[in-house]
Amino acid sequence: MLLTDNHRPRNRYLGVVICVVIGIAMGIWYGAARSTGRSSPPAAAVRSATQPVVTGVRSVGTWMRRQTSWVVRARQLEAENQQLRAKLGRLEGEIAGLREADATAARLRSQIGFALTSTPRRLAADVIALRPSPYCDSVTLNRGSADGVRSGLVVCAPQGVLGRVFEVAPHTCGVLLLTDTRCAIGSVIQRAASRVTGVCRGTGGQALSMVYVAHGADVRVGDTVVSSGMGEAMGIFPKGLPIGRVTRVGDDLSGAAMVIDVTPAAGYDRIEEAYILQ
Amino acid sequence: MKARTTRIWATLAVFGGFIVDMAYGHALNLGPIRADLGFVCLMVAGLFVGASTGAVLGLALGILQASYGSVYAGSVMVSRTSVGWGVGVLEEHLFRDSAYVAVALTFAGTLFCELTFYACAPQADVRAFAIASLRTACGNGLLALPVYLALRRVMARNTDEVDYSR
Repeated sequence: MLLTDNHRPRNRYLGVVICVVIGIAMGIWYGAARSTGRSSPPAAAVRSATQPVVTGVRSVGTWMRRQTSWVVRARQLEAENQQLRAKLGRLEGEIAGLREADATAARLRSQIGFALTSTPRRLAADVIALRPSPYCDSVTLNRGSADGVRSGLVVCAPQGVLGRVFEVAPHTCGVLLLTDTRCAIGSVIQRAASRVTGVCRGTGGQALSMVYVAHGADVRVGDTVVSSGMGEAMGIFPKGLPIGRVTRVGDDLSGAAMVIDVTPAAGYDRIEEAYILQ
Repeated sequence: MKARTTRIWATLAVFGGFIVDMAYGHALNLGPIRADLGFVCLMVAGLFVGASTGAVLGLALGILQASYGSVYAGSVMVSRTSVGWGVGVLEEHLFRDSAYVAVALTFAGTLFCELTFYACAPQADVRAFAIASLRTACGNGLLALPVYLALRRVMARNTDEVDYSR
């Protein structure tokens, strides 16, 4: 519909000016609160008000997927079930061996004076929002300061590291994923013959990039990458957490360092549960 | 009365788009192409409301998005407000009942929004930001078509008597 001048508002700019001023003011408020690792009151209020709706919508989708997926995957389920049973038996054997090795290592460490590391407490949480901001690879969990969550805590999925808490509201928290360009984690190749260290950085895409690896280092496609626990800023990640798997190995333009692509172990597309290391 | 109904539908569309985007954000991705359903709903709903309402809807979407991921919160709010207002202004000069307009406007509006965002919050890696913006614009443009067809059914019949001076 083409409006004539008679129908046009008297001051077309007043509304947008007011909105922009409000936006700038709220942006400053949000930013000031975030620099302390906490959500601003309006952000916390918006989250509290919308969280039940988002959770409800996600629940409906999850329920529908569970109800219908068996129809689509009926043929695969039998084979998958057998594979999983075989894998379970193998893993149970490995776990028993690892427990024994862990006890031996702890005993030896105490005998030669190494500090014993304690296992952090795990707080289970549900993912209530995936990628809420287009400019930040993050997820929102349904745990907040009321549950003892604080900024900087490490968040993991069952498969591996997700990221760290960067913003806390009373009942929710924001988690910056490893794939975000602002996130980095000290990492090491798990293979005993390699133990090459580097830093895994987010690229903003699906993969991570392992940098600061010297040319000619022993890194192969398929190697598992775990957190090294090293570095000042990156040392918040405990040692030995699975990060991902090496998918590409190459040299950078200078030829002095290697460029290594790592696919995260935790699939960020379908995260439903996570746990926070406290 | 009908103008008010249109605004209510537009508000519900933007809010609903935002909620679905948060709940199933990654499911809307086409490979590396990311779409922003809340933003698409803002663009399409903006074709049926005036400039001031568009600005308010843009600010509302900005506040919602910034509340969940408050990195660059001010820039997110201002860019959405500007685009919401811009679509509202353009609506007075465009024939709204066209899917082509909705798709083209969403594509161009996304690029304008990203440009406004960049002006407010310059990013370190310009090339990566430009590529991501282009991908988002493509995703949003594709998503605009079904969103437009859905919104048109409920909103087009309420728009004949809209008086934006009120």
